[in-house]
Amino acid sequence: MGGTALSLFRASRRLGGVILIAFLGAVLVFFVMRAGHGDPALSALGDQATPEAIEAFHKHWGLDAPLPVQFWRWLSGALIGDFGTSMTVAGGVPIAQLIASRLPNTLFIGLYALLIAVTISLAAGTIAALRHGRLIDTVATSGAVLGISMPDFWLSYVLIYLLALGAGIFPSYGFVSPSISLAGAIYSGFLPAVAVAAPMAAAFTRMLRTALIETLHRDHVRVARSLGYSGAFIFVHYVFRNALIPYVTVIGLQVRYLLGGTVVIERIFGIPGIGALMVDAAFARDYTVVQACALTFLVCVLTVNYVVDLICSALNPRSA
Amino acid sequence: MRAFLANKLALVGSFITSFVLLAVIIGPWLSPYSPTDADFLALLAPPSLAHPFGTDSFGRDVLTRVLYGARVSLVVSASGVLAAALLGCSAGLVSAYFGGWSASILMRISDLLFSFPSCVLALFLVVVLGFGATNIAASIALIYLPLFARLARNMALVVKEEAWVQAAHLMGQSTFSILGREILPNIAAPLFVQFALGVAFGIVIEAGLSFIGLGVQPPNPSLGTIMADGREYFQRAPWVLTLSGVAISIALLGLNLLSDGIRDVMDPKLKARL
Amino acid sequence: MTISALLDVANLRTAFVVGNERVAAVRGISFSIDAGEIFGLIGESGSGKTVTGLSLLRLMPPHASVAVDAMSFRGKDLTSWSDEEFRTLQGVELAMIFQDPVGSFNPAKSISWHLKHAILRRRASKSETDGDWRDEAEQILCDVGIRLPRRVLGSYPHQLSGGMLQRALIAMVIMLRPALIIADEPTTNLDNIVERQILDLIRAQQRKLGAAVLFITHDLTIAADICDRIAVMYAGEFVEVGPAREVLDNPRHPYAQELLKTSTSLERRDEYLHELRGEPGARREDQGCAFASRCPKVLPKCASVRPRLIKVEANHTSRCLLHEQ
Repeated sequence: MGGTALSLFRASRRLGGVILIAFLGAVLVFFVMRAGHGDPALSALGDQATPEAIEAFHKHWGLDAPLPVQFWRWLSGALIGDFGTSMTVAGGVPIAQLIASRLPNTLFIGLYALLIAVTISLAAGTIAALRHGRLIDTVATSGAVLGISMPDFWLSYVLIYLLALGAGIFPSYGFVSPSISLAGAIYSGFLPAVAVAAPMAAAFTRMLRTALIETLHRDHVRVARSLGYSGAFIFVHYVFRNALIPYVTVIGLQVRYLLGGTVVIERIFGIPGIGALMVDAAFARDYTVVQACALTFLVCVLTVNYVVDLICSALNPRSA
Repeated sequence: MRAFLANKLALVGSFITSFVLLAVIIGPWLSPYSPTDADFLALLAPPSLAHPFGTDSFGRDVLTRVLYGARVSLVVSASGVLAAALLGCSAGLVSAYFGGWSASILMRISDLLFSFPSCVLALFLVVVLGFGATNIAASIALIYLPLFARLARNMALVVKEEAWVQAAHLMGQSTFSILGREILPNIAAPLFVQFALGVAFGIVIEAGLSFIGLGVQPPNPSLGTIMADGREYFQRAPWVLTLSGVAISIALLGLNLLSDGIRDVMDPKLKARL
Repeated sequence: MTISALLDVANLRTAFVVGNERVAAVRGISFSIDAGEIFGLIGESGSGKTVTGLSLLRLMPPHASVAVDAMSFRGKDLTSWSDEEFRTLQGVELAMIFQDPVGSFNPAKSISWHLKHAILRRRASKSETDGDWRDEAEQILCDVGIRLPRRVLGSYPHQLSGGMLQRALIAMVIMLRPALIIADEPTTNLDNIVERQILDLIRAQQRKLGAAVLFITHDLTIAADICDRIAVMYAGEFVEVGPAREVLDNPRHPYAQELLKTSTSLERRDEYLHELRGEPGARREDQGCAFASRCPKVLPKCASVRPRLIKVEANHTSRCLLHEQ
């Protein structure tokens, strides 16, 4: 009763911290970008631009105002969802629209990959821990080490070669957005999701296995056995439950990878996501888009981290 | 030390890593080819005795390119992680030892950097600073800085409370020397583990960015550019992409096993907290 | 082998297999405990007393090998029972109070959760009528001397002190109403005042339940206080077994005599405490008396001849070559 109020208070304090970081992030993104590239007018119009053209450009895009004002305009716009308009990569299209149409794709692949990784790691980690030291444990751990030793983009090609071009089971390119067809998204998104999931599954499996093995040897497990509880009951409540916190923590740490690691994969599989957008914008030197993408990623990561933090607190009786 | 040699993982890992390092350092000299030698009579030749990894679309010997490329990737990654380690550890140690305002600010900045997905941060920096190898190294440095800062800080906080450190302080030892002599050696092992892992992942980041064309620029070899080439004519000559991928994987495997082994050895003695 | 014995154990042997080495922790002990009796197991660290308790309840880790010639409970032979079958006894007829209360609770669950499942276990196996388990849990916490049972019920293990947790652990075991309780050094990790209270508690509850207790301790005075019969253990075997009062007033085995001397010396606060030098060494099977290297009454033949348990009085045995003269 009083405990809930305290948790709410702590949760909102943490939220405040998160908002602070988001703000600092926005500052960083905006000013660093400007510092690196000075005048967007030159990049948009080219080196041969006349001073009048530059001035017109400045006026048009509001670049004649002092920097902090520009920052404020950008930030306040971003808060209500207006990132401005793309200059070069998709001329004239509002950036918010670009992001809105692509964010679901990136998130879908990320979530899909997370699901695959968690499923594999739950199975592999549990089996490896329960059969600790035996053959299947060695197989699982070796698999895990290999999983994190393969660059994800190389793995993508291995998958494409084997499953798409070779066996023809999955498409090697193209992605059907979930908003168009969920089944299509699941089908076309399988290979990229697996490619993203592989190193994560490896890391999760290792962590779960270690946490389970460590918990299995704790005193309270022996006490539970002395009380004659069934093996399943002991595993669920005494072993797994206590291994959950480090497991969920490592999942939380990997979320950054989930969202950002897809950058190259999106390019390989032709998925129209934020990562691909950012890369295209990088090549097209459309800095406002790059900025907006960076900020979007930051907000996504912060949100997910915040949620994971809350889950961990809920799981851990010591933080009550 | 003895435990280290007895540990199978560490042994295999260091063996592989040493082999890779050796190959990368000496290999390029031993090779009769140069990475840019084009032999137009042997385009896209499959692996043979003359060209163990085959040739690419310019007739360049892939093995030589892989060795040079590996060297570049390793140097870029290692220098980035090293910079991250130096800066991050200093920041972490300082914040742990002095606390107060400086600690808060340092940790907030570190948290901020950590909140960007690695590739995104790298991409962003590359856009700001420009393409090329040195900038990738800088990106890698910024990506890993928070990790080292937090690790160094957490461990230093634990060690700081130890009796011998407080004794040194009471005896008038300067802060600097306490940090260097008392605290640092005790946290060296977990730092090394993170270093190895960082180099491994740094290679992946560098290769990834070079692969999409935002890193090392062709014709300079980097594992990423080689794989990008290999991707172009994947159907006709799958060996380029495959073998260069295998090369990266071996290097990563060595580093991962090595850090696993060290972690195993360390575990009963010192629990590394991240 | 008495007919009325609740638990009968013949030649229990437990060894740890580490790599190629086999380290014997318990080297063949036999005893029986009657219903309602408090049987004490005394020994210093490394004597094998905790391992004995764990072996009886089949709680040893997989790399340990436990063997017994015969083991019967209420007349039924347990040696052929599978682990699943044995589980029907665990927590129902046989229960254990562990040494470290803090580590014995599931850190993720509240005390009420622990008690609830213990109650449910008992009800399921002893087919009782239901009632609110919460009332019973509160009552039992009161019985063990916890003053604010509702608060403790809602607490998590890390929020309670060692003494409180030990009481809760005892409460949980008592609630199961087992026929035999193995208490492994239940007061070692507690301070003296709490120790007294816990001992009184155990004694009172044991009388109320009519349960038999295998009381494991290193402390002679506690054993004298609470046990009916005791067995002194050294290097994995019994060196003296008999009625508690008798063994402690007049120990026959040199080791038991030394223990008594050190204990009384401590109580008297002698200026120079009586000490028993050395420690139990590496176990070498069948090479004479295990205590020979530390024994003040050692004879030359002690190094080569292994003594057997000899009857020195009615119901009182001792393992020493001195008795064989």
